[in-house]
Amino acid sequence: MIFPLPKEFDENEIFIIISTVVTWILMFVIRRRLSYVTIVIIWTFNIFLALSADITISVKPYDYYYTIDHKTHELFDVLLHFVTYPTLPYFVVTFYQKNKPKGIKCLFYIIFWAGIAIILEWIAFKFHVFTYTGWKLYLSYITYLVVLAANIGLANFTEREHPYK
Amino acid sequence: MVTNMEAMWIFISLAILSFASLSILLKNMNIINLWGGYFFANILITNTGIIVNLNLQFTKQDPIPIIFWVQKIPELSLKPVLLLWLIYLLFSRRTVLSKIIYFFICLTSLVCIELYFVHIRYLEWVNWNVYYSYARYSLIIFLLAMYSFYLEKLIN
Repeated sequence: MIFPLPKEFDENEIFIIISTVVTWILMFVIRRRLSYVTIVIIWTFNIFLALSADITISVKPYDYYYTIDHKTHELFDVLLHFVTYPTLPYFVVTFYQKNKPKGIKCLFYIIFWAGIAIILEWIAFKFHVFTYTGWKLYLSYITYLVVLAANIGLANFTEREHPYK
Repeated sequence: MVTNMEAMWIFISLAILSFASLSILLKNMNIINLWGGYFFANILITNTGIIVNLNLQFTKQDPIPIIFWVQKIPELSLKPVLLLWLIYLLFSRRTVLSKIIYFFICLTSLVCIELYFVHIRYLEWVNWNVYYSYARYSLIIFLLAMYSFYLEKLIN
């Protein structure tokens, strides 16, 4: 099958659907502060990062974790990568554009959002969206710090070229 | 037969060359479109790759780190950069004939990278062949051209 269906439609699929719906509602409720160009770039960048990470460290020879039910790339993985994952960096850069914290404030801003991201990942882990087979949660935290900083940098650059009006 | 380390160095050198060539492309293409195109090209290469390799198991490879990385390096560098060059050429003011020629040169180069991996036995084609590879990369080029076209419209 091109994209395998879930083995059983259970807690992890329900969690993905609910979290996707909630984050998408929030996206439309919260005031947009980014240009459409920035949104497209941030969205594409995060799909690229999520896919690259999953297809590098969750497959052989590393096999540090797997997502949902299968060790293959299943249908709900596509939903996660393309629809769910990019919402968090979207919120990070949207709220960043409101106050534009600089220096140490920016560092605390990234540390704070990486904390939110790790809590969400921990909840997802409890719902068996992720099954760790060597991966550790603190490694995700370090990854989020780098990824969120990169997102803010990329969004700032894109907004300079194509600002939100 | 090429050793693992030789193959690794070949693709690291090609990666450096391809990223260096982006500096020329930057003068002719919008940087935002270039970033977006690079990310989207990677998404398409990875997604189609895992469908063929992991989900459908039409191709096989040994789960050895060096073999994995030798194939990963061009996936992140040479292949997306080749695609970006092609997108630039397709949307430039050139004759249709020259665009068709560039299209086939790029397509064949992408397929040849895979053929090289098959040749050095890093990749095994189980239910896969050259024609399917041509079809895969043609689809990638089509989707990337659509993305680039609409992103450019949004930018302007």
